[in-house]
Amino acid sequence: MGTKSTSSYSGAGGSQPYADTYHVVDAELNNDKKDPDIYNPTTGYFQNPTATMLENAVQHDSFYIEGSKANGQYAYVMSQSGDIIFGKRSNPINPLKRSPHPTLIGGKDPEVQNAGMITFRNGKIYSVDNNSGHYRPDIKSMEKTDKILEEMCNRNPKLFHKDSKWRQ
Amino acid sequence: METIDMNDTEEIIKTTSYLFNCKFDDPTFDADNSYEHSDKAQKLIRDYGWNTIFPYWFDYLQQCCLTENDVLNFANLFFYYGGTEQPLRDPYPFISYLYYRVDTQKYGGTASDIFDSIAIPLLSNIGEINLEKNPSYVPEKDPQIIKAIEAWKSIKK
Repeated sequence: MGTKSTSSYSGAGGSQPYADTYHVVDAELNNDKKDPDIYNPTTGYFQNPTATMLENAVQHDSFYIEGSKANGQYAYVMSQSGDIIFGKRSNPINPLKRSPHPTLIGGKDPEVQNAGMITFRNGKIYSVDNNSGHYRPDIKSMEKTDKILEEMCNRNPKLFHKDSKWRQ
Repeated sequence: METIDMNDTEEIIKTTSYLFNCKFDDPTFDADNSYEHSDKAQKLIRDYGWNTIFPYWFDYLQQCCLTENDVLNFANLFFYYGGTEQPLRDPYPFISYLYYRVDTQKYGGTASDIFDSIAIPLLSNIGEINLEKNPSYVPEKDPQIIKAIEAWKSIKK
């Protein structure tokens, strides 16, 4: 079983042209600028308090976030420096809103190398994709994320679900 | 539609109870790289088909998950067992039941994150939502989910 695409996205035609880094797409940035629960005119996007570097989330062969084993779909970005940062989608300011991808870094227009959703099952990475409505990275950018995860799997395969593509 | 006999029903009920009568956040749950519960869930679905199994799981949620924490526990297990990868033609009753039982404004991310992880794939699978077009989608504000929650409130009065 490889990465199953339970895609919430329309796929081809929606992404930005391939680039080393991506800005937030204009339509989303303009929308967010109107929402004080997401964007502050002076400081930009708030920083998601659950934002966690993947490398720092490891405990005993599993990934943890806020003290619990990661289980579910989480937003992630690959920062300009190449770190994978993931976090919960819930919004700490307003429970009826969500924290978009740029909040994983924060600031006025945070640039990323890639962005999407990472799925964990009981603390193990199960799948990853490039589904981000705020960044819409080209599928080619997945090569960078896949490379990092492959290296991580080579170092410790137990961090990855036995049915994930990295363990096949 | 698959036919099952009394023995099959007993087996499904017994296995469903085994799968969901455990604490997902217990450190010993499928620990040390064990996939015991997950493998059992996958086998159950393979043996009987999702269309047969899902009603039993949904029934367990309604009959045996008495507290909000029970519902959250069920949701985490359901996700871990791959429930969101299975097709559900009409996921609204199931999704809305989770939100009906647990006030996500009170529980915050502890509830909304796992409920989103269930709702979004199930609704995307049937083409009801598209996060590329609406990355800020919030299930609690979805009119169809709100309507379905109200329906649960009427039934359960």
